[in-house]
Amino acid sequence: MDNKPLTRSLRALAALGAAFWLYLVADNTYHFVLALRGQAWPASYGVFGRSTATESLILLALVAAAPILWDMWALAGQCGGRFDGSAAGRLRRMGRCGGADTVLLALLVWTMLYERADRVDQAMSVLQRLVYRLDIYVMEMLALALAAAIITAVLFTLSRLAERAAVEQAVNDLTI
Amino acid sequence: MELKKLSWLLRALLVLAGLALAMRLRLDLYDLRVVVSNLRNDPYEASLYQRSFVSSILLCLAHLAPFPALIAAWGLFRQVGLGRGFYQEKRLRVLAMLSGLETVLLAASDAMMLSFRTDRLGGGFLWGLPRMLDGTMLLYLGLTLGCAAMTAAVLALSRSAGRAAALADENALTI
Repeated sequence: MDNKPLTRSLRALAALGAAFWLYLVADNTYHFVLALRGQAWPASYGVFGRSTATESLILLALVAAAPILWDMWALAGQCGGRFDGSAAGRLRRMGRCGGADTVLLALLVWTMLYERADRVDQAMSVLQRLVYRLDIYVMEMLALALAAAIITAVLFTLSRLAERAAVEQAVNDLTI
Repeated sequence: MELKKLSWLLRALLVLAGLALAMRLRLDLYDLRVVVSNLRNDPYEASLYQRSFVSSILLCLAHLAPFPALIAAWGLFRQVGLGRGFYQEKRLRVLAMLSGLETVLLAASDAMMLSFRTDRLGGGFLWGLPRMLDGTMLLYLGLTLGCAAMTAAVLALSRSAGRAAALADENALTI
């Protein structure tokens, strides 16, 4: 079966993801250096500011996602091919990276919420303070953490399916 | 069992994407309101990073367009593991069409954003290009390219699903 267009489209997506990843790494490294120099966002951005811990967690989460792009490129090349077990291995490795990303993003959300706790008006009620702390940046990271968790589960399920397909194919080959 | 779990997980991802899109749409509507009020007060005061009226409307439309695609994808993900090639091919084709529409809308809004920035920067398109390609512009250009690649991938998948359905029919006839 000819799956070249699919391979090419998936590889284009992986390349685009890599370009975007590089841009995010460059942008966040710049902010990290600013934070190290003490010129971080808190001074000028008020409640939306980020600490050095937040900047480091963002960078770590980005680094943890890098192998996923590499494996996605390799997996795209296997489109339409036989299941030989390597696809399952790749999917499992992607799942592990997704899991690490989920943990880092969850830590990031917790750190951001913790940072905002000091900056909100203490006279507000607990509910008001929570709503104030859940601004667009925290919500974005929360959504990303949830998406990472679901994608991790999808990748592990796919890896189990690929493993089963590889075993079935091997049994069929033996029978023939 | 695994396939059922996969189907639920993929649908959970769709719900999350729908929520994120709704949040984005709310922000776009707010931006549109700001642009409209700015147009009424002083149209020349807007900075480089502000959007024009047309690009704001286009972005609202671009963030509204994926909702039918999400509904189509929900139907597709419900069929995971059921092996109904014919229905999957049809749904994938609808998805590709919607994704194509999204690409066109995003490309139009990119063009509007670039022309808006050219007017504001002056000095011609080519010389101003490095300054025009700020974070927001790069993000939307990346989204447009991503959408185009996704359209191609979904089209290729629909062709594969069609072929698989034809093969299954042939096998059924042979048996």
